[in-house]
Amino acid sequence: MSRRLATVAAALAVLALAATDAAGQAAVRFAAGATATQYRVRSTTGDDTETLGAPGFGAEGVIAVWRIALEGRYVQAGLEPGATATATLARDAVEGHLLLAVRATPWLSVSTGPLARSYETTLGSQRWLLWTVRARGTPVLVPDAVRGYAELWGALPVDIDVPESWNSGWGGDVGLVLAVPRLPLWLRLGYRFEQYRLGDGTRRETIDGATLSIGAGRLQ
Amino acid sequence: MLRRLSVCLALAMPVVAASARAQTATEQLQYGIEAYRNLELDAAVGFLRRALSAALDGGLSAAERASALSYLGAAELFRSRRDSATAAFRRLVVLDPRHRLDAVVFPPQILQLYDDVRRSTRVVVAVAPADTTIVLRRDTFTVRLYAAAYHAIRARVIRDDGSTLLPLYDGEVGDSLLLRWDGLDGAAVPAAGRYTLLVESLTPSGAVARIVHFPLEVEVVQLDTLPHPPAPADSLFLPEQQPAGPALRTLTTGLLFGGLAVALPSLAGSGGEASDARFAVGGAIALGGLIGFFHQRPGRPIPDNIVANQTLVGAWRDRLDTVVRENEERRDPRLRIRTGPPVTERLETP
Repeated sequence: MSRRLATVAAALAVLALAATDAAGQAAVRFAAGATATQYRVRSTTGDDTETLGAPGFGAEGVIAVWRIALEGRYVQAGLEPGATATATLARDAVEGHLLLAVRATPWLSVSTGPLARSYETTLGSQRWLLWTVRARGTPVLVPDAVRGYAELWGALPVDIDVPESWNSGWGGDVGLVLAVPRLPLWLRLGYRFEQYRLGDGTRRETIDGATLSIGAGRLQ
Repeated sequence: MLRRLSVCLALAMPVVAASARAQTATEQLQYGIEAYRNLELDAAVGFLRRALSAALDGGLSAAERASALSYLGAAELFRSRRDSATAAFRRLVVLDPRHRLDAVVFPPQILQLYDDVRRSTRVVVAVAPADTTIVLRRDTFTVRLYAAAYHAIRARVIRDDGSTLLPLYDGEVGDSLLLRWDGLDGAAVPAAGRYTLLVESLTPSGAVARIVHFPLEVEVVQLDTLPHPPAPADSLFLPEQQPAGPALRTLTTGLLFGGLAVALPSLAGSGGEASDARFAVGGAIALGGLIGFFHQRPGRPIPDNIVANQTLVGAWRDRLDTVVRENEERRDPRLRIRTGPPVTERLETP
């Protein structure tokens, strides 16, 4: 898994170096960065609750032409059971999404694309493949320096390795992006929250945590 | 049908005749030059005289006439008719005092005779713009005189009745001379009307050898003043101070987004289970909104807009100054002076 992360990070680093040139052109926009996240998973089935958490690391990037953008993100974490959990196995979590976004206005964009997540334990693996539809607002807080963002999305299952039937899934991501003055660098701080309900509400999967990213290029 | 055809032919006849005449004169010139080169001097003189004859004269351009006279003078000298050669060269000098024979084409004895004739011919040509306008009491109307030889001239502007409006020059002329006239008469009054610039070439004894008549038509012109450009409309000015709206919107957005970060888990009924990091993130967003509020606080000067407005006003003032200057010039009366073709009149030889 560390090889996979290294490969993705290397690819994005190369793209990030090119970002400084691409950023100067209005027609094509590119940005790439590294992500550190607080990865928290809470799985509740009936009265049983499993809580796992660990720092996650990954990368993210965006390439945009005119109003259309392709956004990607990859994160992996070795999740450890929380102190209150009982009989919970550690998991390796890997997740990523790929979104096709259209900017409707300077501060509002809509996007859609797959979200994939995999949990690996000593007993086996569990894969989630979802399709998401998202809306994101990015108002300016400090001109040329800080933008806020809030994204809400809904999910539909494509392929999930769980016995329970699908009820609902949604998520949100709220934060701000700081553009470093006179440099093509940015810093993103956000908080994300996702929740999936299965088996008529008997099972509830919740993922949340803060995210800190730093990158090069023009994110917005 | 026949009647219509005859009308068309009648209309086309003068054009066809003029074209044929021009062709004939040019052809006669070519035949004359060719005969001269073949040393058929009698034939050359015949062709050249026909090309220059009154009936065909209009068919030659000034350069062709000069060429015809050059070859005619040379041919006559080779025929040992020095007087005829001198007469041809004199016509050439009067036509264009600045003309010089080509030393490659003509032998030295021809060049020598031509120079002798030129030096002994007292004539000038006057060159001036066909139509010009001068500002009274600031500009002058200029006529350049080119002389064939150093001699005395007398230049004056005369009225239609022959009386003198203003004497311009009385003295010697060398190669050329610039005559200036301010457009005023002797009483410093703008001289609107029809006049003639008269340039008399004088012999050493003071007799008038030739007179150049240069028709002038002078008209007083008063130009209309231009309207002042309108001042920039208020709608073109950008606000120079921050209005309250953007600052309040930024603050509201920051607080709203910060609150959303905190409340996101509560929307799913999981507020108690969520990470406390959301409070830090929510606080950071709210702080960003607060910074944005102070960055755009109401009443804060907007330097870019101030510069843009100053540029707008400056550009308008520049246009206004240009129009004011132009109007000051337009208030000055002007004279429009049109010239006709000069005519040289010979009174005494040379």
